[in-house]
Amino acid sequence: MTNTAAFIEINDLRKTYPNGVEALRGVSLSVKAGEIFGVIGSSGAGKSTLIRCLNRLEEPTAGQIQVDGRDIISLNREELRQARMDMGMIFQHFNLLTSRTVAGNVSLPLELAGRRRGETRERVAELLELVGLSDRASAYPAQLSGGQKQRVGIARALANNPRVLLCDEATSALDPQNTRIILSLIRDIQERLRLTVVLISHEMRVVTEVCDRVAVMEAGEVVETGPLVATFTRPRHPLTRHFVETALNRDDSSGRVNYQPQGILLRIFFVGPEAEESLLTRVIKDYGVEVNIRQGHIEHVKNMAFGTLLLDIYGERKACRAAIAYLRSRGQILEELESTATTDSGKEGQL
Amino acid sequence: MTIRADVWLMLPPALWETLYMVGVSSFFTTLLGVPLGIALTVTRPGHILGNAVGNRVLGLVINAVRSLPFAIFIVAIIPFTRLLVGKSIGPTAVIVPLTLAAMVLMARQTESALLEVPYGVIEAAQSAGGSTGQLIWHVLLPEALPGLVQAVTITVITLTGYSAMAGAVGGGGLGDLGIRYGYQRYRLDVMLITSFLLIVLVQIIQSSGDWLARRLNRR
Repeated sequence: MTNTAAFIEINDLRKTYPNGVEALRGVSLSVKAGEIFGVIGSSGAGKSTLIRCLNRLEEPTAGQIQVDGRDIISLNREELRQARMDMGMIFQHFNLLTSRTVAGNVSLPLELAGRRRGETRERVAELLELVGLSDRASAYPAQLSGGQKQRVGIARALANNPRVLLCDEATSALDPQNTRIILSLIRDIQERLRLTVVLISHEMRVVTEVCDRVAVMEAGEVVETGPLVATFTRPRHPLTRHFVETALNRDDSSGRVNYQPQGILLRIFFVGPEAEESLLTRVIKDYGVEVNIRQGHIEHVKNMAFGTLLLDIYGERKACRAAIAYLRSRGQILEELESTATTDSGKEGQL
Repeated sequence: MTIRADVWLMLPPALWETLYMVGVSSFFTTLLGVPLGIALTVTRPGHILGNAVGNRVLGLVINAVRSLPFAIFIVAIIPFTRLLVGKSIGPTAVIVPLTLAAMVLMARQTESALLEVPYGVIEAAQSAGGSTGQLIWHVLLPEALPGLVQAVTITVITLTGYSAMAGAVGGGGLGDLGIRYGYQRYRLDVMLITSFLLIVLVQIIQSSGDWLARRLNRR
């Protein structure tokens, strides 16, 4: 197994529910061994159906799925059970057994696999250590916080040493702090155990935090796929751009309060290394215009900065136009929101 | 009202007969009703062994049995009772209709207890490679245990009530005593004491069931 080989290969996967809803309309994806692959999409995009097809919690209507060279669709009942043991899964609502303690929940997959009792006890201790819950072994799920419950979920998913971890909206029920803790735990164990992870989420911050590559889904289809940084810094599909923008907190109303028309109000969407101040310094120096920053928001995705700036640019009209043209030439997404210094550009003109 | 001495002679055997009928029929009702309830649950469309037709047929049969008034049911299955225990009169014979009638109730109660288990928990075990039997035994039943205890409690109480009707086939027991001596022979003392004992019995069953269900509940 090389590092670049496709570990999970999905080909033209389709799922139509009995009520006629087409949840998947020909999805093809390939996930490399040892990567964290993210699928992002709004609710109803089909991403949950997609991940549930991978271990056939959902039976696909048509298409192929290969995991580690194994044809998942053609497996019989018994073979499917074995294949599932090679794929751990964690869930949005954790799905822990309320009647069992933390240790009992983690030992469930080992019992289902028919492991011996002594072996099970040892492995459970090991797993609880891994997720940092050794001291809560005899607690019941009702006594745990959401973050702790998901750590139990992770320990349970890893019990039978799977090669794949499927994360079905695993952090959607958690607060931002616990989301970060769970994501870094997933990243950590993925590296340590060389797992291949498929993660689905409707949240941009989840995907940007841990994924190596992403697919963007809409209405049962994958609209864009590629390495994380490239996909989000140069979004090609409108939906991808939408996700990027929501992640950047597009609500800039506070920056627009008390707007004194003194120039051209711009919103600049920065990507790549230019997100640093140098771009604006350049504009001010080279074009002799003045810039007044009203609001800014910069995000980092794997050491790549991108963000938005809300600013006024003012000065001599010609210089302003030239400065704007320069910004455009650098390939940044740029919107002129309001303009009093010029008359030749419309409001909200978007490039 | 005076309590005549013969009451104390009639009560112990009647109490014993009631305990015997209710005890044995509760045992068989649970033994047969819970698996029936499991079948009723897992064959629901979208459940572990989803089978719309099988589920429908099962549901119809169960509803049919439940629709019959118990008094009619006892008489209707007399041939079956005779086949099974060799007689149609007496406490042992009554256990047959009691079990059959309460079994379908138990099945429905079991079904609603099992449906309380969030399906995601079953899917979690499914995704870990659990077989159908394992999902039922390791997940569905333990997770529903507090609800199942409540279901058994209600069924046992219903059986206590049904057993009072057992007089119809000479079943004996407290209810029979209350009707024949208390009601038909105008013995107010017998009627009151048997009623009082039945009330106490039901209270004990309910409290024990509640206590056990509470202890088992970890939610």
